[in-house]
Amino acid sequence: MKRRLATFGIALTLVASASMAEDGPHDAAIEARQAMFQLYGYHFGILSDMAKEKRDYDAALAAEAADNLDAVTRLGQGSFWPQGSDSETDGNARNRALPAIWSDYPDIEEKAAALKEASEALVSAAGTDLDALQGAIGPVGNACKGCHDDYRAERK
Amino acid sequence: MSGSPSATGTRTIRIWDVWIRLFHWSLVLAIAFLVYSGRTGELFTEWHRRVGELVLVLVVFRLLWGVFGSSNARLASLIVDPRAALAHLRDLAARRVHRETRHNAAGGWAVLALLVLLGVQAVTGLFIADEDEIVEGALYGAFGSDTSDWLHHVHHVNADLLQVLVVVHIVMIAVYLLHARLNLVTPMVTGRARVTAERAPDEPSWRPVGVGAVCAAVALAGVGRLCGWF
Repeated sequence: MKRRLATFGIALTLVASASMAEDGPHDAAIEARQAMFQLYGYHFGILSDMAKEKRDYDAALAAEAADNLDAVTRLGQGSFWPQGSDSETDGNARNRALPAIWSDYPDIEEKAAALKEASEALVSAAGTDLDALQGAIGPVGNACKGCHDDYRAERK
Repeated sequence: MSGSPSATGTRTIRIWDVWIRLFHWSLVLAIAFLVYSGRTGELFTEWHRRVGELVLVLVVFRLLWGVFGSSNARLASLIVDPRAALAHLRDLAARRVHRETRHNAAGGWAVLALLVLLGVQAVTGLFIADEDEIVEGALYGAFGSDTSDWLHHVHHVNADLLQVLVVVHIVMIAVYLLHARLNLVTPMVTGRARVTAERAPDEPSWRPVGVGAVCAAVALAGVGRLCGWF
């Protein structure tokens, strides 16, 4: 009886630690693309707070944030989205990329193009004045949301 | 002077005052846009919140008008014995319903349910934002993130409930029209209906239009201040 319990206990520990391990094959790509989204979020946050008048408008800072955001839209993402790195196949607990990204790729391309277009308009507007920023930031937010609504898993 | 008699023994009576009618159809347009923008994301960041705040104005107005308005607008008049509501639905099935100058027994409860759900939707909207905080309600941040997440969830579930109730409402209006031959739509547009002289129900007691204007102004000012319009 004691031996069986011990064997069972060891087996349980092995299984538990295997499921806790995060070194899946796609972790590097997943973490890199999440870092990319953090950059988007950081710069968008600065611009959004200015647009909502939660912080003082600063033309130079706004221009830089918009430039940076635009730079991120030009990152080549070929290696960020390997097959099998979706949230249902891959075991990475922080991964929220839905399988639809891979099956609906034409829609992804359209939405990426919309983001690029909106971001370019924001670059010219952000450093001009607050009105221009407020006018140009909407489409960028829409573009972000457009993808997130369909392709990002709900927060757990 | 309530109606002009005609040779065939029918007359026209007034049923719905201008404020009720304005309220109703503004709500139709607002809800249509909110459902559309909420589901498709079109114009969402620009307009979903603003039109939602307008719905809050409409609900507050309706509550005020339900206290100070015409007799058939009074909220108290909507609360009737549920058995009367069921009896009315049986009459409807049997095509035994007639023109009334107030919400019928079942319709009164429907109005209350819609007002409650609309109120919940508009109020939860004040306190929430999407995950990326791209669109924020006017009072977002008043609660901690756990409460805010829960209110966000309520807003989504309640949206589905509302849509179901709206569909039920439209279907029922169609049932009155097609099954019982009672047109409830035209009176909500024109405010008037034809009734046979013998069966003519009493007209509601009206309030001056100005009282409605004051209610509207109070609603606009109150919600506007709350939402930071000024």
